[in-house]
Amino acid sequence: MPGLDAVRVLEDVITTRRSVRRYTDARVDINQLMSLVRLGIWAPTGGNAQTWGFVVVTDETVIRAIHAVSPGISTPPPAIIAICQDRKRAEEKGGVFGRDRCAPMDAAMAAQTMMLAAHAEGLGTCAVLSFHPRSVREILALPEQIVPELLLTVGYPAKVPPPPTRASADIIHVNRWERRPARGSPEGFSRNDEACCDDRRGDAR
Amino acid sequence: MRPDDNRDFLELVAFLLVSSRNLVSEPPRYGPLRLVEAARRLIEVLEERGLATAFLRDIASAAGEMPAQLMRSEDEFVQSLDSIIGTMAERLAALT
Repeated sequence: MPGLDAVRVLEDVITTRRSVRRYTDARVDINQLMSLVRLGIWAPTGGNAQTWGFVVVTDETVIRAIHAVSPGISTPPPAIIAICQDRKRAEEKGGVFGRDRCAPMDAAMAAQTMMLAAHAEGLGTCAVLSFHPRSVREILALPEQIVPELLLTVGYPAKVPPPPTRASADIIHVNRWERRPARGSPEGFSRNDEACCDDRRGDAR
Repeated sequence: MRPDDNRDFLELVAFLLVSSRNLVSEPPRYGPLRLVEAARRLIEVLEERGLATAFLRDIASAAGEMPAQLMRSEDEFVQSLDSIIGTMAERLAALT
């Protein structure tokens, strides 16, 4: 079980991660990328489906091609991890619910796990949803039932963006919507509420 | 002409077409972002051919900051855009 120090480290990793859209030209070691994926697959999946697949892309020509059909990627990154789902297997395992609801969420949870792991290793990432799936499938030679759910750009940050303002405690409710915890109450926030909730992470696009 | 001379144009056109396709279902605020990004990428292509002026390079640099600005604040994004467009209009006026 992780101790207090581990919790603090994890909190630091979570709250200092940013969505990075500009990278240096430095290449990312393939072993480091593979390690990220190995950590990513420790994310939970609905019904333990694990119907995902990952394509680690480091070839510059492939990255340029993906960049061209992915408006959400600003500049070609040193590496891309395409997080895919086998929709056919997802349906076999979880029905339509598994295919349409669980599979994209499982991919997102793997992405977040990889993004945190990457950040802990000094790498920047950005989860990208704005791409043309059919084109990405063509470029990556994905089989028909394999759907690219998310693209994760990876590289060493050229620029770390400032943190966008995060919604304050207004979004947190206890037991029922609209019933907010009183400040200082046992069920309320334990410390520096607003400052804690503001100034946090960037968003995928 | 090098074999890949037209590749960057192909990539730019692909970006425009995919943007158009995706914007049908993407958030409306992505539209302005894509157009700003298209301007930046066009200037980048011109620069690779030695055709971009310092003025255009400055615009590309400013455009590169705009996605983050829009994510932070729409007002900030609009102000930056208005500033660039104002400078652009001055340039155009000088050509008349």
